[in-house]
Formats: sequence, structure tokens, C-alpha cells
Amino acid sequence: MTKTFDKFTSAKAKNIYSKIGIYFGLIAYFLLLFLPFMVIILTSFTSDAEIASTTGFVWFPSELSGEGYRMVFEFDPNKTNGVPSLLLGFINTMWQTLLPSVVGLMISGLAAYAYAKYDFPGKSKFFASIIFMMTIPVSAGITGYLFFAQLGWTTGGASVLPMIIPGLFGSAGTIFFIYPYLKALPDGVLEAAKIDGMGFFGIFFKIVLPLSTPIFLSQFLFAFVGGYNNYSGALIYLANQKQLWTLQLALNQLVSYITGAGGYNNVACAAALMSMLPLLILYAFVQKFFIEGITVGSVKG
Amino acid sequence: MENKTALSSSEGRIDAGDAVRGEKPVKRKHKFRREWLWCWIVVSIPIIGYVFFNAFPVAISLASMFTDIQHNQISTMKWNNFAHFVKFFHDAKYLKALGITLWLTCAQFLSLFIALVIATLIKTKVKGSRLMQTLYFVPYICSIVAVTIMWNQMFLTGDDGVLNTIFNTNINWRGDPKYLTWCIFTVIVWQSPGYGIVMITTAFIGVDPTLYEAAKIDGANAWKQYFHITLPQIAPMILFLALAGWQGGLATFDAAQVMAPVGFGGTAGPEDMGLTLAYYNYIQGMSFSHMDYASVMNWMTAIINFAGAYLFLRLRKRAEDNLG
Repeated sequence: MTKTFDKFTSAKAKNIYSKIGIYFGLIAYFLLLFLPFMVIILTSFTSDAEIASTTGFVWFPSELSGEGYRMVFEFDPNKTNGVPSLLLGFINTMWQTLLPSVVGLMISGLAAYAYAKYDFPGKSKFFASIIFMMTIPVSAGITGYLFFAQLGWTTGGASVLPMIIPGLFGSAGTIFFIYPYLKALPDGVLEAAKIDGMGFFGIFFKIVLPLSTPIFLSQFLFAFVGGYNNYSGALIYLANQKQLWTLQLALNQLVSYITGAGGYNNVACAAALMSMLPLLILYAFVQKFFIEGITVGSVKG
Repeated sequence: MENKTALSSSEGRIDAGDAVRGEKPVKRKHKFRREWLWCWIVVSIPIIGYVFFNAFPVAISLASMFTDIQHNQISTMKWNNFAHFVKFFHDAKYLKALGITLWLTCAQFLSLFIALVIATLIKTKVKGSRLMQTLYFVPYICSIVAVTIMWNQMFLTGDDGVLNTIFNTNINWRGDPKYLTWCIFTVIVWQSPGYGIVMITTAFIGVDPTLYEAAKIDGANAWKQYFHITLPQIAPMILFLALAGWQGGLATFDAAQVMAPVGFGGTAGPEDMGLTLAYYNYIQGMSFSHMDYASVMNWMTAIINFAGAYLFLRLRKRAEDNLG
């Protein structure tokens, strides 16, 4: 099928001029996208003294300096018990993101599995309510603040609860998305497992989950990237709780403190780079699932 | 109810109860199954979560529009004769924020256009285009905080700034009310297209290749094929992305907040030029603790959002109908 498609496009690309034009466009766009990355990589390895003494941007640092990376940890005004805020922020981001994304995905997966493979009484009514949940917008941002304030979830250590608890319940969108994949699993395999004496959860965790790893992985990555990069939620609920700051919050606070008085741009660049690195490394390894999860994940809303 | 087996046949039917109604009645009596209990529990959890963490917050937020609230405690709610609405319709700052937000929403539409152009280049399948697509997606997964810090380096004032060095200027980009929205605009246009590129590339693959064959027999050249076959075929996807851009644009917050942090007196950058709707909402709700008034703005913005969304959905429906 794609062969005819190739034939036409390659016929077009035979024209050497259009080929040059295509490469020019692709490479120019690439350079535009990666210029800022190059800038912060260069600056992160330039010493502050060199930045200050040179007129114009330092394209070629006279020597590679680790000052920026060292100072991220040394000059940190937001340390908690001696732990640098970026490191603590990373740890906080991990548990605050992994907990709701993993538990929420499992709950959504189990619900999708129940809808796809069991005929329990009232199923059609439950399913209709899921569709209703899909169409009515989800409260986001500060809409929920008043509600969480009534629960006492906006002061002290409880401030972290609005970041975690709602996600534990799974979401209609994820159920709706996983459902057709589980529906397509052959019933025979599940019947056999049932005859072997496996229960509801045994079949899900030992048979269904391993058989549909790609779809669960891409859904997980969608939730994980969203959580890792979430800034506004952390800003609303956690801004006053230094010990609970997420990576994005810690990063912004650190950089505005360090560069606030001018200078030390190398530290700002080093901090920004270090905070992006974990996701970039993950992307390099599982980029297929990444793209799938984010593109498909956002269509489901 | 189907009692033959708890595992449904793979008919793709949701209401399996109806599916078997026409068949011969099953002999065994209704017997409670343990799996049903588990099913009810696991399908109830998301519904309970939705009621608790969506329906309740939305109800409180809606109610708070008509009341004065002290210290965010709803026990202090007091009817105030639409005072917040009167205030809202005289709020010049909201209009300003609306203007800035609509301008920044244009950044989303520009991103969509760039995505269309780049995806079209990728579609030619020249060597390396697949790798390029992978690389083009990188900005999209970077956090907006890190991205904004990154662009702050580009926009540095004085001779340290990259843009000032390249253009040999001495502009205080972020500190000048004339340029601040341009800075936020740039960050959005830099970050957003990766998503559209992937989505449009996927849509291109879905176009029925026989359509091109027919066009070629008719003697249509590559450009004609592109405008008369490819574009109409992917129009629903474009309109979906436009809808996503519209909603994302109205919600613009992170880039503005990081680039123009809340100043004294709750300003958002020089002359409030970093004030987007979501940011103004945040300042009213969090900095001034006027959650009740923030709710009014929030729902007014939601109305604007729905109006635009309805338009895009109608257009999308029409584009789909045109395909037959």
C-alpha cells in the first residue's frame, strides 16, 4: 500500500532542486530548534568570570569550567537538611508522579479489563457513566483549590495530597483508551487461565498485562511525562512547602534566586540542563512509546 | 443477563445483556459470581474519584461565584448580589489579559502551520527524515520551566544575551513591555510544533494511496495532489490540532509565569504585559486570596473556551462530512 505512495513521492524527490530545498528546510528547522540547547550547553561550561569579562556571548569558552554544575549544589539557598533542592525535587517528583501514574493506570486498566472481558450486571450503565465523564471537562488548575481547602489539603504536609490522591482513582480517558485493546485479546487464553484456577486479578496481572505491555507502557509514559513536567499544580499547592517541592518548582526557585542579582548564568544553564536530562535519556531509549503515548494519550483527552 | 460464562464472547458489544436476549434462555439460574464483585469495585473506583475530585470541586467553584468567602472557607460563604460579576464587567485588566492571551494563542496556530510545513517535508521521505522527526519532538517533552530558563539566556539583556550578540543590539527583551509578549510567543512557537508534526505525519500515512493513483491518471502534479487530496484528507486532524491549540493557548500560564514572575502588587512583568488569563486567575486566587472572584473569571474564560471549541468542532464535522 505504501509502495504506491513511495513511488509518487520519490518521483517528486527525483527533482534534485526540490530535494535540496527539502533538506534545507529540515536542517534549518533542526538548527533553529537546537540553537538554544547549544547555547545553554556552552554557557553551562563557561566560568562566570569569563562571561562577565567578555563582551558579547561566549561562543567558545577558553576552558571548560565545572563551576556551573558545582554551584548548583553549593549555592543552593533552599537546602533541606543539607539535601540540595534540585536533588530533593527530583526525589519528590519521582514519588509524587510515579504513585498516581502507576496506581491510576492499574485502576484504569482493571476497569477496562472488567468492561472488556466480563458481563457483570449493570455493565452498560457503568459504561455510560464513563462516557459521560469523558465529555464533561475535568477541573484543573485552581478550580479545585477551594474544595481542597475545605478538606484541609492546602496547608502543611497535606498540601501534597491534591497532587497525588485524585490521580490514584484512574481516569475515564485511560479506561476508554485501553478498553479496545483488551477487548481484542483472544478469549481463549483467558478461558484457559480460568480453567487453571486463576482469579480475576491473577488473570489481569499474569495474562492480560504481559500481553498488552506496549499500550500500558505508552499510557504510563504519557502520565509520567505530564507529572514530571507539571509546574502549575506544584506552584499552586506546594509553593510554601519547601520539603515537598517538585523538581520544576525547585528549579525555578533556584534559578530565580541565583540569577536574581545578575550573573551566574552558567549555574542557571547547568540547573536547567540537569533537570531536563532524565527525561531526555528516557526518550532516547523508548522514544517510540513516548511519541505514541503522548500523541494518542492527548487525543483521548 | 448472560450466565453461560463470565468471559464475554468477543463480539465488541458493550451491552452483552441485550446481545443474548434473543437467544434461547440459559438454563442455569442467576448465580452471584465473585468476579462480579471485583468488577463492580474496579469500575466504581474511577467513578467515585470523578465525583469526588471533579464534580465536588466544580460545584463549589460554581457556587463561590455568587458569594464572598473569607480565608477560603466555604462556611463563611455569603450571598453578595452578583458583586463579583459587576466587578468582572468593569475589570479592564481582564480585557488586557484576554488580549495578551489571544495574541499568545496565535503562537499555537503559528506552531500548527509550522508543523504542517515540516510534516510535509518529512512526508517526502528523504533520507534522515525519520531521525529528524524524532529530534523535532525533543522540545515538546522538555519541561516548560527549563525551556523558559533556556530562552531567558537567549533574551538576556546587555551584551551577554545571544540575540543581542547576533543582532548587535542592546535590548532588554524581557524587561521591555514592548518585547515581553514576543519572548513568551517565541518560547511557545519553539516548543509546540513537535506535537503537531507527529500527529500530522500520522495523518498523512492514513491517506488512502489509491486516491493519488486516480489523481495521477488525471494528470495532477505533486502540488495539485497536495492541495486537492492530501490537505482535505487531513483537514479533520488539522482542525483537531487547532482545537487543541485554542484550548492550550487560552490556558497559557507556565511560560508567562516563569518569564514574568509575580512582582510587587501582583503585577506580571513590566506593565503587566505577561498577564495571561490563567496567570491573572492565579494572581487573584493565590496572591490576593480572592478565590471567589477567580472563580468568576475562570468560568467566563471557560465560556470563551467552549464557544471557540464549538466552532472548531463544527468545522471538523464539516471537514469529515466532505470526505464522505
